[in-house]
Amino acid sequence: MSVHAYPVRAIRADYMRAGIGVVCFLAPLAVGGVAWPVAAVFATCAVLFAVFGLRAMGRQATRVSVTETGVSADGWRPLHIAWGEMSAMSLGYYSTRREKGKGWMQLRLKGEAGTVRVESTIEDFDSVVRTAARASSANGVVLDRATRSNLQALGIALDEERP
Amino acid sequence: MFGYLVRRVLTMILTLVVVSALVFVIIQLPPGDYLTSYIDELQSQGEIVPAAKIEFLRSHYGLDRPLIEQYWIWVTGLIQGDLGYSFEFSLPVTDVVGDRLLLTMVLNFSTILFIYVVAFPIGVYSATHQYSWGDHGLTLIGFLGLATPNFLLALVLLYLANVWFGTSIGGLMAPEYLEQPWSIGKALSVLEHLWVPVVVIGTSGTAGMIRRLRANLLDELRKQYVVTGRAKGLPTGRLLLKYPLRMALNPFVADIGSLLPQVVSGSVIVSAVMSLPTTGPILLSALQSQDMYLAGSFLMFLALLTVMGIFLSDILLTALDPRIRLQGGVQR
Repeated sequence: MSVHAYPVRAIRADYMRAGIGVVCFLAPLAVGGVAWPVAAVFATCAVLFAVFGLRAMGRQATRVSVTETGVSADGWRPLHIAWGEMSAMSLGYYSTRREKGKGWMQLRLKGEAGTVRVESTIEDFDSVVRTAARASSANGVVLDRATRSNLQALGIALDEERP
Repeated sequence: MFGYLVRRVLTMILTLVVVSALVFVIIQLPPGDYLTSYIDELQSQGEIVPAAKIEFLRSHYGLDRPLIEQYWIWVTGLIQGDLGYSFEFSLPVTDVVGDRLLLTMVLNFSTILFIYVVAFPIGVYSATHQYSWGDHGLTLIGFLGLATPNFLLALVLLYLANVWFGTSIGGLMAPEYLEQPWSIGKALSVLEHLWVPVVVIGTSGTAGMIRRLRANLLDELRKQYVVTGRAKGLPTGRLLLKYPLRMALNPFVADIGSLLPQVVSGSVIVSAVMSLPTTGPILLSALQSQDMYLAGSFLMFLALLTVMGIFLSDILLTALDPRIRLQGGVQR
């Protein structure tokens, strides 16, 4: 069994983003005199950043445990997915840069109980993905093109993961 | 995806702040200001403007303040919905702009819709029926669309619309509705006049889009997975829609970002030729006379459209294909 947590430095950057966003959008509203259509857009964006901050707090409290039987995420919304019940897996890559560099990945594992999302900023992300890929092969889960390509980029050969 | 959305919004804010500063500085770059041009014009007509009056006007319009202060007043005003004061028209910018921003948006969004609605089926048909009579005919029309100058097409279509449908020449509505409040008749008149500028501005964009979609789809159709799908007996339509078309859509979607500013800037010349009550002609005159708040507000509007377009295309692209490129590193 292995337990994985998000390092504080990774979460700190997200707190900063959330803080900057909330301040940028709330400050004009606090000063007042903002036209109502602009105020509506600003309020929506402020809520968006506030939710992002709350999600960062949730991630800080989350511990992802990977065992032989399944994957669990404890924190604000505890969830357990047995490997045998995993019905879908996707691994997406996101980057805000034009050249698509310095981005991050998100692993999504879907089971009967819900969906576990794990970001690549978590400790030892590769081993979580490797175990999940092995389970997906064992369950015969069909992976989309993006997921297969991203697995290859991490050096996880799908054929090797087949039982 | 949510994290991506939030980070992209943050980048968008930063971009808009930088663009606003650039717009303001660039408008101020030519020597002098609106007042200098105005006084030169008066002096060329033989009028003498007293120095005290010049100083009073400079202080009245805030032109004697430091650049950074002028910028701050303008930006905070923009957020509060106050676009500033137009020196040329001696009116607040919001009053000068009036319905023009709305009509510009209607015109530009209709044009983009036209480009996508026309380009998509033609592009798919041309690729799936390569070298057929239909493909050759549509390709020829596409090249004609690319090669014909917009102002020429505008003049031809204006003439034809007038002769065939009795539509009044120029403008986006019949003359009797010009100073009238919005009504169903006025909206119908706008719709009646809208198709000419939409076709004129949209033609070159449509032609380019057809060529790109055709080329992308042809590339995909030649790949081995399509041959395998065909060999396994997948129905042609399903095979096309599920795999190659999805892959070929990426550049099509990516074009949204560049299409918005392209259409808006392309419509400036057409608006001047067709006397359209959009922002284009006013922007031209504001830039010529250094009417900084009026020009700045229009340029910020263009920048906002561009940034929004790129934001939209980035979100769609990421949703369509969240793949890593091997040269890019993953942050841990």
